[in-house]
Amino acid sequence: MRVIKHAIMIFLVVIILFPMVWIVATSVRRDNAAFSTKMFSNRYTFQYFKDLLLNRKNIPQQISELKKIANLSTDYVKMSKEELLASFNKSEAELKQQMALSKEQIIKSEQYVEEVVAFAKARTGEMVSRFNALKDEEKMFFETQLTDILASSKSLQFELTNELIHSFEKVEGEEQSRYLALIEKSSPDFVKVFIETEQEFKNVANRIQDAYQGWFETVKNNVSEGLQAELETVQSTFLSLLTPQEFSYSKWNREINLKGYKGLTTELQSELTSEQLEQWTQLIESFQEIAKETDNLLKTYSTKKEEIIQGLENQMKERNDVMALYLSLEEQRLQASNNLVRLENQIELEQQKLMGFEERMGLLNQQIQGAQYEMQELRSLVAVEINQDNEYKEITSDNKTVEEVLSALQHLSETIQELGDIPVADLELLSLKESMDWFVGKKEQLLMNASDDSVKNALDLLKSNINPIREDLADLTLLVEQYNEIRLRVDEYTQSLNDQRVLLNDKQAEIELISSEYNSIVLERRNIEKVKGIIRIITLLEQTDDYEALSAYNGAISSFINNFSTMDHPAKALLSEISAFDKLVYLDRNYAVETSYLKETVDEIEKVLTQFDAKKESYINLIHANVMVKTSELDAIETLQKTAYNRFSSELNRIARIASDLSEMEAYQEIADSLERIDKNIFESLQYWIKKPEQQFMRWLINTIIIAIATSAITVMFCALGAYPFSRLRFKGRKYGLLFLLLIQMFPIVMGMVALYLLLRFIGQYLPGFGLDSLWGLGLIYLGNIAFNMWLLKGYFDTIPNSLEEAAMIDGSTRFQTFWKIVLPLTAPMLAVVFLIVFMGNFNEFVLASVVLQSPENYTFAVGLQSFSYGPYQMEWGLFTAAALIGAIPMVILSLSLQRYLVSGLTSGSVKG
Amino acid sequence: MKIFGKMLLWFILALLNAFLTWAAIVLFTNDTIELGIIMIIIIFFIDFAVINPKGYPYRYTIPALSLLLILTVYPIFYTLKIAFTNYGTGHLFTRNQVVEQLMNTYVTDADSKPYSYSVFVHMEDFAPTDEFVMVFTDGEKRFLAEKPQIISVDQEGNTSRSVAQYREITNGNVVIGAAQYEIVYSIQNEDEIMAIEGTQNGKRSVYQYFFSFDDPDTLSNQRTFISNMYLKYLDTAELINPERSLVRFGTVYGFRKLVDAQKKYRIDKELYEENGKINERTVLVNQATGIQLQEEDGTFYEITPLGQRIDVGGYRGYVGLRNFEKMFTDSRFTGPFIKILIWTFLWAILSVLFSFVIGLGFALMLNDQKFKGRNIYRTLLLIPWAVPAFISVLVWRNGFFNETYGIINKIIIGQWLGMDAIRWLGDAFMAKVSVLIVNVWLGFPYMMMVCLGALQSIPGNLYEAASIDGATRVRRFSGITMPLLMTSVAPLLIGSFAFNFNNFTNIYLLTKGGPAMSDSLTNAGSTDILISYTYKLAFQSERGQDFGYASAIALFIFLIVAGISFFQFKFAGTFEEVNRG
Repeated sequence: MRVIKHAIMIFLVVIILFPMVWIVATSVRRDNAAFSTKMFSNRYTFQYFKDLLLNRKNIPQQISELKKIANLSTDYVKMSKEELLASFNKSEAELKQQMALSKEQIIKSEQYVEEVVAFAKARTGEMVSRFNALKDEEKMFFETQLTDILASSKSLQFELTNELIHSFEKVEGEEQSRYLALIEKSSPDFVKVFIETEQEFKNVANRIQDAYQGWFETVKNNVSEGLQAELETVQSTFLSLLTPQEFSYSKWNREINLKGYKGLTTELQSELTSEQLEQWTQLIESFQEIAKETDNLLKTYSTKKEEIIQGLENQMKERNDVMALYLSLEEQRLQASNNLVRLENQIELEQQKLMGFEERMGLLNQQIQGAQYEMQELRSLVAVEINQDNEYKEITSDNKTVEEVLSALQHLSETIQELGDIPVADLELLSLKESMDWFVGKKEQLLMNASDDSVKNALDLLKSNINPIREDLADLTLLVEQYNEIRLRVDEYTQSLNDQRVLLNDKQAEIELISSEYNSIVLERRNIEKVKGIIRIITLLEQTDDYEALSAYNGAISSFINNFSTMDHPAKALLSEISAFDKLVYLDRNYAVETSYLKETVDEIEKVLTQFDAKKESYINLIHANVMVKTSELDAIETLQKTAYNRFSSELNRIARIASDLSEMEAYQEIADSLERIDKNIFESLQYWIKKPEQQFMRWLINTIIIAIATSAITVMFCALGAYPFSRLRFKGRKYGLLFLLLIQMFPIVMGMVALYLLLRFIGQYLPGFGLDSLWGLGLIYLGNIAFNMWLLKGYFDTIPNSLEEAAMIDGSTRFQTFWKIVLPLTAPMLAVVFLIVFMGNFNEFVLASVVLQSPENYTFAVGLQSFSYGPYQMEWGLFTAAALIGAIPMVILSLSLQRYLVSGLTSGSVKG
Repeated sequence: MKIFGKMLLWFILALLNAFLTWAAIVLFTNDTIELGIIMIIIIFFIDFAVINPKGYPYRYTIPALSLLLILTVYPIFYTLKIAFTNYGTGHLFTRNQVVEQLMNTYVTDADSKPYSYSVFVHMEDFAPTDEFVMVFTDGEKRFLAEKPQIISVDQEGNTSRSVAQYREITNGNVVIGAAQYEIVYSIQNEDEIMAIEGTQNGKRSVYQYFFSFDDPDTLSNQRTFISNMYLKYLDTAELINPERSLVRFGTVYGFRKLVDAQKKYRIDKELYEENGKINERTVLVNQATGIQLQEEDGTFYEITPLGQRIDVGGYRGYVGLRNFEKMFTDSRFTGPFIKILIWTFLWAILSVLFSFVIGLGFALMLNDQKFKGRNIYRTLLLIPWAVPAFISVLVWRNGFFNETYGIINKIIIGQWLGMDAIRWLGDAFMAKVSVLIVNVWLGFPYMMMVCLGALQSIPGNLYEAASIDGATRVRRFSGITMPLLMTSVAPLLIGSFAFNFNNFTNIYLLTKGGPAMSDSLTNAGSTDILISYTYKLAFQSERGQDFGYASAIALFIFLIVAGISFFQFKFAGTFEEVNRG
């Protein structure tokens, strides 16, 4: 029963504390793999804590610091020349030192690498013998695989034969004979021809060889010591020409002629008797005869081969046609879809243009609208005027204006007519035109009333409007022309777009039709490749006598698996072990290459730095005079660092990863220590190079502590003072004062933020140290949290008996003295508790802080930690969890030791819920 | 000695009075009358407490009360005030500030020709000082402008208005007021100005050619020009000449060219009648059209000749109960508001309920005196509560609830159960579940401690008596444990409810209130509770800030929380404490 209870408790505690365990585990793991299923890694590190607490700038940061000085960024603006120089020197020294340190780490590892490699090399034999034990089983497995594939499809036969015939001349020995065995199944003719040819060839070769052998034997004795070697070369050259693959008449002929007189050098000739030379010539001549014969033989062979292949091809024709058709269809489809995309892009482009035009027309439209309104106003004005007096009036001499205006209007009206349909401003134009036409139609009346003042005015206004309208219309006409042109083009494009769509659909349908057939063919062809792969594997398998061959076999297997699929072959486990082992065997090579790159980079940067040193002073003079300086050396260093780091970091990380993986394996326990050291050293060396985000964690922590301590000290002091009379003295408003305290502590401080924000902004104008984005401003706001703590302390004062104070007062002490000398010391423990509670509250506060504080150097811990979960830190799990841990641990200790007070009813809701 | 002490006290009091009075005056003149009133209250309070012997008890409360008044009462009062205004994006400034802004708008004739300019700087030790003059030309005439004088500075310390005189250069000479300038031309090229010699009050200074935007040779001086001269003096400068139009750096050309400009508006006075009295107020008139700007709902509108209304700037103004109407009657705002209100209650109730049930469960398990290791378990279980909430919430959000790589989705859901990823923070319902999980995780240890304390105070002989009477375990729990537990725990549950009702941190850090409600005008989110909603309304400006509406909701929250707390105090007997003695 009890055991079950314990089990349940432990289970629940583990689940509940899992997030905390995760924080701890992640903060000390080196690989940033916060979400791996393995909670605890043996690649632990305290680097993140180091980074956070020491914040030592590493190589890229030092370089950017140097550049900052060179660009005279804000931190350096006010520095004198000497200070600038000093900062330059400081960053430079630091940079050099860190590069040296990173190099040192790398060099330190070299001996471990050697150790590891020696260990590995000593064990290669063991690997081979372990493999040999599995060899038969492995072979069996692949043979079965092969049979299975061959049995899987009948139609495979032709294709397979065809493929093998094509490629069997490229393979040798065992592999070739396996090919032949497979070919024989469907094309025994070919095998027969091949074997016959080969036999014939061998016969011929043997004959020649015998003849030559004899001649060389006899000649050998005649030739002096010095020329023996040469004679042997001649012999071997001739004999090598006698293999069927190598043999061809023309080739042989060329070989002979290249070597001077029929293949013998003059020195050799001089030492031979004429008889021997005669024999040699005869031999060559007879050989030429035979060679011609064998050439014919080979020709016959290839003709026959061609015939057989042709026969096979004929049988495969249908399938090949399907393939070809499919591919061409696919190509057409691709073409069509490319066209489609191109057209769509074009249309979009044109439509953008159209939109631009429409926008411009819209602008014109506004103007035209304005003109139209005005025209209408004038029209109504004039209409009233000319309708008023219908009586006849004499046409005055002023009719010139009328004529002029009206003819202009008529002209404009015609222009509008010509414009025709336009995309915007249609209505406005029409009503404009209508108004114009109206004026033109009222010509007579206008002429009659031309002397009327208001008509005159109206006409003048009309006249002044004519020119702007004319210009607008001209612009509009131009726009419309261009617009319509584009519109036409768009229509064209759309038409061909549709064509292409239809085409695409057609092709798609056609492809659909043959796709299943195509897929089955593709599958079969893949199987053929697989057959070839397995044959190769089997061949290699038989040669695994030493480690290198084994390694090659392993390579073949893994490339096979890459190309096709994984399979559970008997030696799989061993081979994956060998893959790991392989990395050890060749570790020294990789390590040397990558680290030398790092070292070179260090040297190069140092070289550039020396160049920089020479110019440093003049740079500073320029920088100080506020001249923009292009420090090419620093740029060069930056590029060097970036490119170099990108290259060696990934490789070195890979090596480190391998080392750490291997160190966890049972088989390498002996060298686990060395492997771990390699891993660790690489990690530490790279720490100097990794681009780390800038953070001011220590500063945040110190900010928070200062503010929290200052505010809690003041709060406790003021609260004790303020609470005292509420507990001890009787005065007017005491009861309402207490209720007031209870009431205002309920107001959510988050909501007072607008007011507090503005208050701080206001204060900041007079006291910048207490304004927005300042720590003391934030501290000021924290002081507002007084009401609740006053209430708390008042309750505690109530528990202290009055008699002590009364006694003191009788002895003549004042009220304040009793408070200061008697009550306060008695309440000291409670004051401490309140102090700590306020301290914790302000340490954990983040809402107000995130509103008030804007610049990172003023952040408190809570705001800073929040910034760790965005932007450049987002994936820096190690950094984030380490920071969280540093902040959480003191708070956890405080909370746990104060739990009695924090949990008691009174404090609920103040700090914790 | 005593007298000396008293003198010192009086002296300090006098100083304090002087300082606070000064502060009050400054506040009154800066449109923050409420704070000024509070300052005056503080002055009277201090003087009363110190001078009057009857005020002795009050002396102790001076520092605390002053802080309370400024930092707690004033914000409440301010919130109350702006709840009845339209304060927010588009209505940030006072009327006077907006009028000033409008007075600083200019119009430029589209066809007026821009002037190219060159700057001549007085050098000292071969370094440029910020004494300079400018020569600019429209291609025919040349003008010389003095260094502008700064008229006004805005709150960030940037110059908001500066003015300088300019005159045409005739015969190589310019006279502006008391100053006289002589142009030194290049010998090779008579049009090229080498330097300018200025004489003022008998003091002579030479200005060297320094920068011109059109002269690539001076590009290296551009930075100095921009930082030392342009931003400080020229960006907002009006160059004036009684005979010609105003010249300034316009918006179109930036610092590249000077242009002719003229003020868009002029100030006019208008008489209006209110409550039978005739008052006067300032109005703005568009100079070009001569039409007066209309004012409505704290916004200036320009009326175009065609009768369209264009919003040209809003100021803070009283809108009565409109913000409260928004909450309850305006359908565009009420929908999200009611949803959020319901969720706020649901969230507080469920948080308390779950954490209480879990906490009680643990407390019952740990209340067994014979159970070894109970203290260790208790301490371990307290850790979630002891870790600062902002840390654990961030860890939950980043490490556990992330959709792609969070532990829950990646390992538990993905690897062990082989299911599709859950959109913990992206889906409205799952986001609610997530915030509840985290809040219960954070809150149950507190409940456990509370229950443990209460359980331990239940006398054991009650149980003995009950078991003698044959009561079952269940009966004992429901008959003895629960009633006795609830008497001491109930007020804490209410307190916890009130706390969670306003638990801004957890919501804000975990989801920021998201995912966003799609059908809302404001930036309301599915997990927003009232307090986070108001925060977003007030401080997150993606869709515009609305301080007025936020304050109205804040007052509403205040009422609810005060109501809840009333019950809590009633239960906990806090009011008796007030009445006692």
